[in-house]
Order: sequence, then C-alpha cells, then structure tokens
Amino acid sequence: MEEARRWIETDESAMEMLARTLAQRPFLLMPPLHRVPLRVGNVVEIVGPSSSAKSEILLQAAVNCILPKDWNGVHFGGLEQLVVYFDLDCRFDVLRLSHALRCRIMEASGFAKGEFQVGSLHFHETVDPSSYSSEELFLVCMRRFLYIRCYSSSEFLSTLKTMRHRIQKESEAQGVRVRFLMIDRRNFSLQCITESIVLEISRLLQMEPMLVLATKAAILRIELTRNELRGSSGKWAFEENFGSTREQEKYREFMPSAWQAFVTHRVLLRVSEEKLRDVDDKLLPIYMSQWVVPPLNYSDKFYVTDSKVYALKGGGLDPCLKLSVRPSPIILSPNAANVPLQRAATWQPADHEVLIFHFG
Amino acid sequence: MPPLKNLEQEFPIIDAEFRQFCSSHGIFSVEDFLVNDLYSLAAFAEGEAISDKLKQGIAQVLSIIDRQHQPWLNGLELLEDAQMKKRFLPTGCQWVDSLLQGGLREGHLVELAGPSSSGKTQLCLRAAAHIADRKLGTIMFLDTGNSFSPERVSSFLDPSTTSSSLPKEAQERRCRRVMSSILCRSVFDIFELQDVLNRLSITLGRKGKDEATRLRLLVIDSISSLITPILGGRDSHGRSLMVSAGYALKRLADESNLCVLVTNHMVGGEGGLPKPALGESWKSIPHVRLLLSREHGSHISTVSVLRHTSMAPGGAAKFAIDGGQPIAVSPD
Repeated sequence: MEEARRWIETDESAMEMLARTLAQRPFLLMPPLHRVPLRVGNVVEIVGPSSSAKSEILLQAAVNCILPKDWNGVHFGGLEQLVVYFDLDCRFDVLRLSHALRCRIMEASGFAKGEFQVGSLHFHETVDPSSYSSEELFLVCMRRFLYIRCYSSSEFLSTLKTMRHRIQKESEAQGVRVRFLMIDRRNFSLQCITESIVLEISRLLQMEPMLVLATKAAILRIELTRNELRGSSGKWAFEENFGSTREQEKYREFMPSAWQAFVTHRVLLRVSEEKLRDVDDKLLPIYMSQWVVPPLNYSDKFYVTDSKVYALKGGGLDPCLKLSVRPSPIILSPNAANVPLQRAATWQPADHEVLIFHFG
Repeated sequence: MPPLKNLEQEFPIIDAEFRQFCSSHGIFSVEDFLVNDLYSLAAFAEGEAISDKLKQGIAQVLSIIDRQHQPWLNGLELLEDAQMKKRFLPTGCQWVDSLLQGGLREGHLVELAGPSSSGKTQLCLRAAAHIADRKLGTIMFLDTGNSFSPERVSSFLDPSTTSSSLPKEAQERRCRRVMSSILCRSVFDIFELQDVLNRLSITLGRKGKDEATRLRLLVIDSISSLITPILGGRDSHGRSLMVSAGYALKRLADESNLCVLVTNHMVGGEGGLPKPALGESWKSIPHVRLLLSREHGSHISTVSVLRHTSMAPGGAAKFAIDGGQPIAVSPD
C-alpha cells in the first residue's frame, strides 16, 4: 500500500520542472556554434586542419562565458560562468585572450555611450580614468578563466581525477558555476587511457553539468600541405564536394572508439580560399564550418576579428556587426571581380535560412 | 610513476595489506591507479574488513596523483606570467620584428620552414648576433649540419656595414663579447638532442636567475634533419619521438622563459612541389610557423606567417640575406 502510494506521488511540480529545464536551456553561442542548440552535458568536437580557427573558437566561447550579462548598466550578453581550459597543446596565448576580452569590454561600453568606432582605437595605450570600472570588470572576468597545461595524457588524466575538488572550491569562492570545459586538442593513442579519460569526464559531467568543447586536428590528405605552400592559388579537392557526404571520407578518424562514442556533436572547419578585406586593408581569412553530427546540409562561413567571430550569411553580415561604423568589407574571390558586400546584400534568398556566398 | 611498494617508506598507509587489496584488482603502480576507476575501487573497499584503512590509502594515492599535474592557474596569474616573464626578443631585422609584433616571444617554439638557401640559417644567426649584441642574454645554438658560422656572426657586427663608428679595440671587444655569449654545440641525432634538452632543463631549473646572462634563445638548425631519418616506415615510433621532442621543447620554452627557434627544410612532395620535411603531424606543434622563400638570384628573402597564436596567417615581410646591414625592405 505504502509502495503504491509512493508510486503515484509526483516527482516534481511543473514549476520545478520548468525551473530545472530552464537552467539547462541551450546556449546561444557565436558562429559557427550557433547553428545547433547546445546544452550542458553535450560534448562538441571541433575538427579541422591546422590553423582553421579551432582554438580561436574556443577562445571566443570562453570570452562569452566569462563576461557578465550586464555590468554597471552596460549589456555584455555573457554567461557569467567559469571556464575550465585544458591546454593539451601547450600553445594557449593568454595575451590573445586578454586582448579579445578587452576589445569586447571596450566595444560593449563604447556602443552604450555611442562613441565607439571599430578599428580606430588602440586598446593597449588608452586607459583613461573613466575606464576604471571596465578594468575592474576585466579582472573579475579573467579570474573566471581556469587554465591548466598538460604535457602528457597521464598528466591530463591525473588532473581529471583530482579536479573536482578544485572546481568546487573555485566556484564557491566566486559564487558562479563552471559551465564550459574546453579541451584543446585531443590526440591520444592508448586505448586504456582514452577509456578512462572518457569515464572521468562523463563522471565529472554528472556531478557538474558542463558543456564540453574539444578540438581535434584533422589529418587531411596531402593536397593541404601543397596548397598551403602555393598560397591561395590552388583549389582544394574537397571544396567542390562540399555539402555532399564525401568530405567525411576525406579526413581520417584516428581517435579510439571510446571517444568517438562519447562525442555528441561534431563540426568540421576549414579555411576557404576567399579573403575578406578589412578596414585597415588587411586580408582576413574566411573559414567554413559544417556540422557532421547532427548532419546539416548547409555550411556557414565566418571570419574572426580581434574581438569576435562574425558569420557571413545570406550575402550580408551578421546583424550584430554595425555596417554604419565599419566600412563595408570586400570579399576577394580568385575568380570574380571584387564585389562590395553591401551590394551583394540586396540579393535576397528565396526561402533558405542560410546561404553560401556565390560569385561569378 | 612509481610502483606502489616504493611508496611505503614515505607513506606508511600504503602497506602490504593495502597493496594486496590493490593487486587483487590489478593495480600495482600509481599509473594503474590512474587508469582504473577509483569510485568502483572505493566501492570494493567498502566490502572489505579494513575498509577505513583502505579508503585512507586510496585518498593518499589520490593526493600523490594530484601532485603529478601542472598547477592550476587562473587568467590573471597566466597574464602576469606572460607579461612579467615572457619578453620579446628582437631579431635585428626591422620588418620581421614588426611582422611578429615585436620579435620572437619567449615561451614560444618558432619554426622557420623554407627551401635550401632561403635564409633560414641566416635569420637564426642574425637573431643570435643581435640578441647577444644587445646584451639580452645567452644564446645556445644546436648545430646539426655544421651550419654555424662565426665569421657570419661577426660580419653582422662589422662596423663597415653598421652605422656605429667604434674604434678598433672597442669593436674587437664587442665582437669577443658577442661571440662568448653564443654557445654552439653539435648534435647529430635525436637521442643526443633529447639528452641535451634533459640536461638543459635540469641546469636551467637549478641555476639562480641572472637576467643578464641567462639563456634567452635556443636555436636548433635544423631540427628536421634530426627527425626525418627516423620518420617513415609503417610504425609510428618515429612520429611519437618527434611529438615528444616537440613537447619537450615547448615545456623548456615555457618553464625556462626562453624562445626556441627551429628550422625545417623542404623536400620534394607529390607532383614535384616542395613541402616541409616535417609535415602534417609536426604542423600542430610550434606556436609560430614562418615560411621563408627567395626568388632566384635575388638577395631578398620573404618571410610569411603560416600560423601564429595571436595573429591571422598571411602577413609577410622581407629581409636581405646578403651583407651585414639589416636592409630596410618595406613589406610590399
């Protein structure tokens, strides 16, 4: 009888359930991670060849996470959470992080005052007294970034085994939780080590719900090396097949199956041969991304500036980029004359949400 | 990582009983502990008669494991380390320095790739001469192909090509000082290199830090000629030696705050196009990769950025490899 009553008793009210699910609502991340709703507990693998902006995406996501939502009446749109960054590559550049963070802070507070101009400010030199509060914000944000360098897999594993205590201490001290776990870049060969790494991470995820972002270098075929040396003149073999399923065959999966089964999302990155001309007349590389897990049939293009990752879509720029303050960038394509972006923006897609830029 | 029985002296809790319990679960060393699931191990310990003692033992091993990894840092501590301890080392070529936003960074592993006679060694020698001349510290040159040339270094200091007009004795003194702060050593295989790096990290870790004479730049010219002989074949042994050498260099660079400059020669790839001798797997190891090239018959070398931790690839600069004077060649 007692048992039957317990069986029909409710677990939680709708209110409680809503509060619980809302706490785990999908993150709104910057491109190219904006395409798929991600929540805590997901494991996202970012795959791409050397210098395809993998680490840059991790870094920008980290900036998003450590920034507050609002600060002194200025909207930053961050998550105000801790980030744990595992640097297995030992190539993390903290100056890059601090520069991106400063740019974001300056940009947001500048936009609020309405006096900010992209590209005309040198953030290093100008620290005027009015930026005192932004300096304080900078320090608070930097403290939310936890970093560890691992020179070997066993160091990584020993960190994972003992990090829970450290995370708890840190999140109690700062009053915020860890939301992102970033791993730059995983390359392990030993089966047993990978298995126990996966076990430790999944255990950690049960205790502390987090979003895991891991990068992985794709070992592509030989054309890449050659292409890199030739500059941008060559054409990648797989570019023509972009969008079909064939490009998946072109990169070799080398991670053990334990890790592959652990990954819930996978996105492929590559460098496109087009370049974007900046305000300062610098050429910025344009990157392309495609989701493999879950399979999506379109690809996004994006580019990276000092402060943000911007999507290039539908022949126009991301709405968050103010075209009025930034002279229109020009896309350089090897087989087309320079077409200013703003003109291209008048060409509207019929019923697609996203489109890839076409020239010539 | 030590076997458990070696730990008993230091930690009496890891006694024969505890080790017997561990070995019944296939654990004999700290490494086995790492790979095993400690939660299920603790659950097994619960069922034993001496469960408290076993759990204490597990906690003890965990705290030993905790000492195996690098320290946790937050963003501020990292930033402080980078700003206080990692400085820029000028190469002496104005445009290369401005391309690299100040020069070679301490803590970085920088690779120069390029075909034969594209100026790789020249850039290394010039950077060494310049750093020594500016009294920034000591330079170590690991020479794998007898490419180090003291005459060349002294020609960079030659008064006829530099603007300074020192008296002859002062010039000689300067030359002697520069030469004495460049240490050269021949290394002919990868195992010797590993040995040198090991000893270097021990001496650098021990020595009191004297800023004026500490090691600032480690040049390996060329690292590819050490590694390519062991690459190839079907097993990945050579590859893993390469990766571990790369990590050893990065670790040395970070912990001893020095810049490591290595060169990578080119070989014929598929279709006759040249490609770096250390290819796809090496690519992801250095912090900065620079590609050097030189037009046939010209003295001007072009440096372009293949990758950089804080810069988009694609920038380029030029320098002259002929004559001592760092000729100001504009970036295009």
